[in-house]
Amino acid sequence: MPKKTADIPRTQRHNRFLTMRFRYMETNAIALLCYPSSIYPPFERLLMTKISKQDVSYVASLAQLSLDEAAQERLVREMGDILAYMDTLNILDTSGVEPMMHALEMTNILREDVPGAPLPREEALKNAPVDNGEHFIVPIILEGEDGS
Amino acid sequence: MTLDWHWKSAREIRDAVQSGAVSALDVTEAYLRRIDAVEDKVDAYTQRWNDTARSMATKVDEKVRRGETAGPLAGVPVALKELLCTRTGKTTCASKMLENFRSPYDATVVRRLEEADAVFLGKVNMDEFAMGSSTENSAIKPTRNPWNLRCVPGGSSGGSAAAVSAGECALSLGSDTGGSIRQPACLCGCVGIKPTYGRVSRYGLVAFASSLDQVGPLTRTVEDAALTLNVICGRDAMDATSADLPVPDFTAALTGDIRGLRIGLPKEYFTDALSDQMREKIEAAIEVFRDHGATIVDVSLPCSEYAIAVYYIICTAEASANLARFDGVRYGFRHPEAKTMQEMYVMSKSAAFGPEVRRRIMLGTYVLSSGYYDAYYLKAQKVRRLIKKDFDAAFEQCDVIAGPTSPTPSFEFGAKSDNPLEMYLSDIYTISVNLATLPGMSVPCGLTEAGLPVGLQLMARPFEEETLLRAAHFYEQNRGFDMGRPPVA
Repeated sequence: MPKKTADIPRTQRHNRFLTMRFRYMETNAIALLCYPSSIYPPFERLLMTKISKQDVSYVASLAQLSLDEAAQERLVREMGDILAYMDTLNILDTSGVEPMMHALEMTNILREDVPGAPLPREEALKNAPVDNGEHFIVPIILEGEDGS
Repeated sequence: MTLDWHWKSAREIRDAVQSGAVSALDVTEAYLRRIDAVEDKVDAYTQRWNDTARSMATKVDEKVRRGETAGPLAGVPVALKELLCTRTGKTTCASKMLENFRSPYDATVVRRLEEADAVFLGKVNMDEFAMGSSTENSAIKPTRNPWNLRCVPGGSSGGSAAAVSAGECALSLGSDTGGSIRQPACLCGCVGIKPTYGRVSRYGLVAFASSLDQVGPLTRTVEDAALTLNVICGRDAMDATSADLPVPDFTAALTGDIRGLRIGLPKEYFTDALSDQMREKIEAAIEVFRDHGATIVDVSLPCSEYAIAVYYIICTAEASANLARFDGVRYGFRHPEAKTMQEMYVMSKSAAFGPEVRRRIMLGTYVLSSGYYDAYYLKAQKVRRLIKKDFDAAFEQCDVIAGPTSPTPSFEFGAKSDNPLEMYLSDIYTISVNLATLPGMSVPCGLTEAGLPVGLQLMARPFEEETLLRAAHFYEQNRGFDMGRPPVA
């Protein structure tokens, strides 16, 4: 069973981070040497970031996905390729650059607090996988409940 | 008139219906026959709403008979992308996750089209949750390119582009997060415009990447694109990110006069990555502008080469957050064998999301996860700022930036589907426009020797769709050749 973030001690998490960073530094050094000025970087020439199967299964647990063996192996390869490509960003010096957090620089979009008509209950429930006519029904949440 | 209504422009149809020269019902029937004739080859439609279409057309005809002025899209047959919420039919996003989802409300753009007296023919195919560049990621079926049935229509709005190009609708609404309107429009030989971020309400558009998504039209003429924008643009109280700016009459911008217009050519868009056959057509298109009094200037967008990396960090991060809502509780797929809450989440998502959606959720979760946030997501946001600054600087020297829409023409099924990174590179020229929140447009500019369409991409400053449309319309009227029609019977 893959571990959740909260299950992993803080120091161990930090170690995992440091290990990954070290791999990236290697990647970036190579990327710097062979990176062309073309818009089309030859990603296959970059040293692939080796994201491990453990990393993939850890991320899957965060994303609430269960992946079979074959899917995990494919993702190790594909995510490795894609992340190595993304690491080319580290070539750019972005110190002092304000991150673009919003697409439009708008703040405090306010409107009058006017009550509107809510969706009728049956409309709101019509797509529910399971309901009892009044509520969405979900499986037992806490151990020990008898579900009645 | 016994003409082929299915090849008429939306404006011609609108004018004829408004004046009573033809009934909306006759036009609708012509399109339904056209769909019957070619749909088994193209496979653009995922839902056909024949009864809805006939009843909408009949309402328009009654309006005309009563002497009322019918709306600006009176009787125009429209196809809607599967991710636009509609009370009619289903809203599946071409995903098993939403295969039975019936939206309790209409998207604002859908409501506005209906108020403009358009007629809905049904919904069209797309890559699952708009993630893809070939429509091969649809969980429903593949859609074929009307210009060559062995080739993809592009994506993610591939069904929209194929339907418009094959004469199966007069216009279609798509959505564009990284090129999903412009790239399929380019590959299928039609016009596609992604308006400025904030120009069009996204209420009822199923979210993929919220800082990038925008709705826009795919049409056969530039004028039809302007006509559609007149209807769908503008502030919507239901979408706080929709801009509170006046909406001009976009058709008034189609003056045919481009004297003094400065067109910038970014040197980063004309490298070896661009195939020769594309380059030749794009350069010929630029000559048309030059010959008619536009000033051509060289500009530089130095951060272009980083755009794909930035885009696939930001869009996957936002997608992983947006798609977390599909938990199997209120709507969407719930795995029948799940016994606990945790199993319900994990088994439902794992069974109902396709491989590309899972891959993007994984990447997005990774780049947002503890320890990697700064290295990926924050870094990408900083480079996004640099990309925007590149455009700000370029637009001090020019009014419109021109280049290719796609590095290659359409490709055969399976050519890129095994290599996600190669597929991502199909968006190389379109994604910067989304990152910089600009309006962008693709206009057909010829056919390759193999008979596949090529598209010219134009970009303008935020909220300057008028400049974009004026340039595109001028080119369309003066390019000196007719694009012809796809060979699909």
